[in-house]
Amino acid sequence: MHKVTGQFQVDIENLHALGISDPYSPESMAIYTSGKLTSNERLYFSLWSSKFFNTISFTAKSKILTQGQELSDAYFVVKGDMLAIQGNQVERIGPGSVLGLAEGLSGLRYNKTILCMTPVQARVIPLHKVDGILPKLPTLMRQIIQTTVKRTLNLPAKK
Amino acid sequence: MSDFQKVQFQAGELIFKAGDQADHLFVIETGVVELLGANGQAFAQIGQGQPFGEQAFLKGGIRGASAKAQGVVNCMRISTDEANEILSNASPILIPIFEALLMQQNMHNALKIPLE
Repeated sequence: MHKVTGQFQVDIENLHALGISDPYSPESMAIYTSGKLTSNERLYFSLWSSKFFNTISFTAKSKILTQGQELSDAYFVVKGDMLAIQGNQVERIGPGSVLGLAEGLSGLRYNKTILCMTPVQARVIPLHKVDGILPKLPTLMRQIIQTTVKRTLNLPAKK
Repeated sequence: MSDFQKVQFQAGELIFKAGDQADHLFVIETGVVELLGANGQAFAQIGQGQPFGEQAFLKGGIRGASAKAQGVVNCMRISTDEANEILSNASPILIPIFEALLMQQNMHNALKIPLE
């Protein structure tokens, strides 16, 4: 028996209600800069409109990631509903979810299975590009990113 | 690294509070900082060499927690513009990567909240 233990989504209906339907329109950008959006809504908008990530679609009932798999890409979910399954625990996740980024940057395998409940549109975050860039960052900025990764994964601050 | 502004906070001083606009992040050089939730209860301690206030990477972001100096704390203070410039100089893709990382952190925090 599965137990639903948590849920997360950015309320994209609220973004649409505010007038944001096309991330590239001047009207949407005006709302983005107006201060009316929550932090998560701002992050969603920024990632949705990013020109650096390609778009990918998944059909309902398909798996985006499988527990134990190695990660070559991470995903930012633009729309669609999913279940994140780990043992008998299930989380309901939706638009705004980021899958596999902190794990991929840490070289960890993914520890959940992500099952699409509806068609899902996502942006692909290519981990190999990041791996090549991080060593070029000043030490302080690299440490900031590494600390954020560890906090996301609840790993100890210092090994 | 030494170009960043150095700031000192006294014991018990509020460095920022939840709801403030996030326009700087901090890296602790010496001392300990407590992060406080909405109820004023400390939920984390940040020590030497550790950053806090990463939401500043998102221009116009809002602080989700308060930060208070536990004793005398010396920090480096890095503005959003400085951080963005450093990331952009390495590669422009690092800005959305960091935003995605913040979003994943927010997602993981939200998923820890028990359902009613």
